[in-house]
Amino acid sequence: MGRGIIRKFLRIESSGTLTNKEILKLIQTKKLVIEPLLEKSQIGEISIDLRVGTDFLTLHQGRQAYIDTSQDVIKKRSIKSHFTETRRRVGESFLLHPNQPILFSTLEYIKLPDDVYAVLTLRSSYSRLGLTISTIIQPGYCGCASIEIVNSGNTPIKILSGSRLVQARLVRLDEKSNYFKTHRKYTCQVRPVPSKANEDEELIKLLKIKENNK
Amino acid sequence: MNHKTIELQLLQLEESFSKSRSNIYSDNKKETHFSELHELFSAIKKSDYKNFTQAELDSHNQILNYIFTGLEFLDNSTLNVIPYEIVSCLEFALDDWVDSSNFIIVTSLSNRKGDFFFQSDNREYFENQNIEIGTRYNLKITYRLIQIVLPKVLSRDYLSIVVLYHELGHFVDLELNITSKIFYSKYGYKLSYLYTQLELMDYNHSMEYFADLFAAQYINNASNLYINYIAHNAPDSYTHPSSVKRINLVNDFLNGKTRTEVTELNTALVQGGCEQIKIRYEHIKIQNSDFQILVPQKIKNIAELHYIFKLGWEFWETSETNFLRKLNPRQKYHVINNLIEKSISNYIVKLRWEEVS
Repeated sequence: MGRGIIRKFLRIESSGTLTNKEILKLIQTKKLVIEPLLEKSQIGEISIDLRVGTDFLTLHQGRQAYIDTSQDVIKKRSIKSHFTETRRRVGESFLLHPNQPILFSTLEYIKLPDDVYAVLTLRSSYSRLGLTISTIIQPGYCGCASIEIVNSGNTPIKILSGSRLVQARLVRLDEKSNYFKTHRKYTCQVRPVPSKANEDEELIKLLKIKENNK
Repeated sequence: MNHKTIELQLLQLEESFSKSRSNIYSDNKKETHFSELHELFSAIKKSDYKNFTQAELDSHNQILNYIFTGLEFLDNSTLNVIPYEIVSCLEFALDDWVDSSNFIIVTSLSNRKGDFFFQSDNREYFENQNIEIGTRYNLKITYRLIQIVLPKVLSRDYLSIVVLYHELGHFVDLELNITSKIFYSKYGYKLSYLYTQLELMDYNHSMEYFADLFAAQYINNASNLYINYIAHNAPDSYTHPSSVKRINLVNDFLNGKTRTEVTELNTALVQGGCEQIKIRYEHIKIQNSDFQILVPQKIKNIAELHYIFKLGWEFWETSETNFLRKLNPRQKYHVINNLIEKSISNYIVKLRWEEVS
C-alpha cells in the first residue's frame, strides 16, 4: 500500500494489467494507437478486442519436403514460398480448416507505448470452438499484429473478416524498453508476415560452429 | 476468315471459361460481367455460325475477342490479385468525371517493369456491339471495362503506381473527347493521313499534358516525381513532350501560374459541360503527419486520401533525414508502402462501417 502511495505521489504509473480508464487515457494522449477503432465498445474492462484483418497466409505443401529455417540464401527456397497469400474484404468469410496453420493480420494497426506489452488470446467465444493462438506483442511495437491460428478441432470453421476474434491484454512494465534498440524484422507490417526464422543473425554463428567441427 | 476461325476461338474460349469459372469476385459488378460474357459465349456457340456471311464472321470474331479480353482482365481482378487500395482511390477520382456505376475497373498484371497503361472499350463500339447482340441474341453487356495494366512486381509499390492517376487521365480524355476537340478546332477535321507529323505530335503532347494535369489535381507532383525517376531529362519525342516541359507545366499549375495549356484544356472542358482541371487534393503537412510516429495517416476525406501518395513521396525523398533515417533502405521502402496502404484501407473500412452503422 505504501508503495502505491509513493507511486501516486511521484506520478509513476503502476505496473500490471491496464484498465479501461488507463487504456482510454493512453489512446487520448496518442501514446497508444489502435486504428481503426471501429467501436469504442472494443475496449473492455481489462482488454481490447481486435478484429480479423483482410489478409491471410495459408501454409501449403509444395515440392520441397520441409521448411528450411537454417539459412537465408538465394539458392534455398524462401519460407514465404510455403505460404499462399489470400485477401478478403471486410465482411467476407474465410475458412479455417482443421490442423492448417493460418496467419492473419489484425484489422487494427497498433502502436504500443515503450513500457507496455500485449498478450493476445482468443475471445472465449472462439477458443470454445477449438481454435488456438499464442502471440505476444513487444513494448514499442508498431504495425498490425500477425496472428498464428490453428483449428485443432475436426470441423472447418468459417470466420468473417472484421469480426472480433482476439483480445489483447495490455501490461505495463516498471521500466521503458527501446523496441528499436536491435534490428527489427517485423516493423510497421500491415499484412501477415511469414516466419523470418532463417534471418536470425545467430544462424551464421551456428553454421560456423558446424564448419569448425569438421 | 471462315467459320473455322470462329470455331477455333470458341474452343479456346471454352478452355478460358473452364479456368475462370472458379474465380470468386468481391464485387457484384464483376460477377455480373462474367455471367453476361458467358451467356454471350453460349449463345454464339449455339448459333448457326457455320453459315455466317463474311460480315457476320467479322463481327463475331470481334465479339469473341472482346470476350477473351474481358476474361483475361477478370481473371486478374479477383481480390487476391487486384491492388485494391489504389483501385479504390482511382474509383473516387473517376467519380468526379463520369458516372462510375457504368464501369468496372479491372486489372492485368504484366511481367514488364514499365507497363503502366489504361485501355477501355470505345463507347461507340460498346454501344454498337450491344445493339448487335441485342438484336441477334437478346443479350446485353451492362458494364464497360476500364482496363489497367500494371507491373506485377510493382503492384504494392505506392510510389510507382501513382502513374495510374496519369493513365486514368488518358481514359477521361478519350471518354470526354477533350484533347481531340482542341486538335480538330486547331487543325480542322480531315482524314488521319492528311495531318502532318508536327500536327500529330502536337496532339500527342496535348494528351500527355492533360494526363499530367489530371494527375496533379489529385496527387500534386507525385506522378512527375516518378516520371523524373524513369525518364529523367528525356527530350521531346513524337509521343511525349520532354520531361522538363511536363514537370514545369505541372509545377506552374500547382503554383497557380497561368499557362495557355491549362486555359485551353479548361475552355474545352467547360464547353463540353465537364468539370475543370483544378486542385482536388487537401494538403497534409509532413511535420504533422501521423507517419512521423510510424502509424498510418488518419485520413479525413477523399481529398486527403488522394494526397497520401504525395505524402509518401515526401517521406521517401527525405528519408535520409526524417524519422526513417535509422532504418535500412529496404525497411524504409517497406515502411512507406505499408503506411500508405494501411492509411487507404483504414479510410475505406471506416467509410463502409459508417454506411451500415
